Amino acid sequence: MEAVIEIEGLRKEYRRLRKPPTVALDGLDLEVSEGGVFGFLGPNGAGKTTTIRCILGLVSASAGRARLLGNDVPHGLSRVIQRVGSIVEAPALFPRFTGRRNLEILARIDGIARDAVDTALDRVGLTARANDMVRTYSLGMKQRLGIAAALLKDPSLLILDEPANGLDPAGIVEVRDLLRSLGAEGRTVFVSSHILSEVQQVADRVAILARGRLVAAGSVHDVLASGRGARIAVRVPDLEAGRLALVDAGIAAIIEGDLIRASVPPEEGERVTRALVAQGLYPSLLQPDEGNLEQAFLELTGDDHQVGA
Amino acid sequence: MRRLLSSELLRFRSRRLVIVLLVGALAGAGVGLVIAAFQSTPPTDAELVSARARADREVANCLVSDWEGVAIGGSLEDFCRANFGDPSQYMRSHLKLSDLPKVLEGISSITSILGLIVGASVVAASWQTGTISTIFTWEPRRLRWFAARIVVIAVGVLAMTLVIVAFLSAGLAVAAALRGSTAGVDGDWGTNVSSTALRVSIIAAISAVIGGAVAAVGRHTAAALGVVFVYTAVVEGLIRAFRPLWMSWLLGDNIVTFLSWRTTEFGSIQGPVTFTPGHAVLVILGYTAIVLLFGFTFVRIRDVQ
Repeated sequence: MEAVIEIEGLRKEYRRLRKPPTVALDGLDLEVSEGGVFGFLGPNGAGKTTTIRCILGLVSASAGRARLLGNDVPHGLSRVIQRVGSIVEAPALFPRFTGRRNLEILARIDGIARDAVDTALDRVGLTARANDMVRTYSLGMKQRLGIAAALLKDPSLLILDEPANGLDPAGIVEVRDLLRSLGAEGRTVFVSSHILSEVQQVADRVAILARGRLVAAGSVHDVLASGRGARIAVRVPDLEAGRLALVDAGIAAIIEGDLIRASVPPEEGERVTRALVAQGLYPSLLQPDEGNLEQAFLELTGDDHQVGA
Repeated sequence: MRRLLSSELLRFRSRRLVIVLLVGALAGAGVGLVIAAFQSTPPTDAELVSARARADREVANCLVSDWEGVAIGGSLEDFCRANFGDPSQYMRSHLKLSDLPKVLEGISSITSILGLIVGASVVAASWQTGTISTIFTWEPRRLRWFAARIVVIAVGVLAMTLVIVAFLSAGLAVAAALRGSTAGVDGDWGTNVSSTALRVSIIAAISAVIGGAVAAVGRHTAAALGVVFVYTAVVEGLIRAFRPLWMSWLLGDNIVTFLSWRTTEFGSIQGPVTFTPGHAVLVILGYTAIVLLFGFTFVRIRDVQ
């Protein structure tokens, strides 16, 4: 499968007067292959937006290389930009123009027909408010207008930076469905977010960024496994007795809620069962413990970061 | 490039500031014309005859006067006719259509400021609203984008100024016909009005380009206007006071020369300073090129946050 985004050793330093430079990206390597939804995760300040700005040519990298759809950034960007739709942070549009006028101005740059503006507005549910000034829009509506602008080019690659920011629960569900459908259409959707549960529901693959470096990348399953280590969750009537039975058998185990979490790969479930049964403890539940992306994220990035729910 | 220009043109004409300034300028011109018309009283035939007779007398007196030691320039007759031969100066003050070129030169400071504000605002707004990020994700060739915007600003302000000049000229023609005089309006006058109108519009367009280029460096409308104001009012003022021989290289003085399209000589304590229209054109273009160079450089190299 062809890579749509290739990043090698990308470094970005921001120089400051009489202070040491701030390192936003510290040798980032990342490859995003074509198709599906790719989640780009990281706590605030991890370098997600800087990465996106670098691959879109908005900021120049201090070192390293980025390629977009096979073309070097920034020099080859003009050859591929027509196939790339994007939102960087909050969608930036003229507040005193109507939503429609904002899209018309952008559409003219690429010679896109007016019909496409209507289609894009319709797709994000803004047709009724299309002729109102953007400054009267709610944050969620501005976000949807930004998505409409990104869709205007009918792009093969969508780069969306925190697209669910400011949306109400219904809006979040709409965006999630939209991302799914865009991915299903064969487009590549590169979506950055710190709302991990959202990404987990739509992404096929994820990458986790911390302090400007990549700490994990792969399928959601792989990243979950790399974050938590392989574990098995067990439920027995006497949790403390069960934990001691496992420890006696040389299996590290802790109690969390009404479960014992044993630090062994799922394929060693038989070993766990034997240790418990030997002590007369029969499990009512025994299953692989993947945890969730949020837990993996915290473990991989260090648990001192605040993450969204 | 055509699509980019089309997009920039749509953005330019959609800006409320452009519309407000244009309507405000037209309204101001309209109010000024109405006031001037009400205060003007057309001369009677008797007054015209009397004024013509007096002008002839004054010219005759001038021709026999002792002008020794006075720098006249040209022939004595031209000098006398230019200074004493206009009958209107011997009548009550009233609207004269023949004054239109002077009126247009007079409004050039207003149209230049208007151009400066429009230019600075149209460029800086993209940074102030953050829309520059959106624009560069549609057109990543920054120099191409900036060139398109500068062209649209220049053409837009040129058109705005021509509209204002046309409105003012038409209004003054009507007012002068009803409440003043249309004496002295001939072919030469028409050529003079056309060329002055064009020069006033060109200066407004150049002001817009300079405003836009400075705004591309500072990324803020007020900052750009402040910089231009400080340079033209303070820096050039100080140079005029302390280094008068450098005056021929100052923007303000050369704009005045360009607008009047006359060679003038200014006597300073350090010696005479001569301004010629050709030199003025070169100096104005030089300033514009330097400011544009800064604008293009900053647009190209600076990160967009």
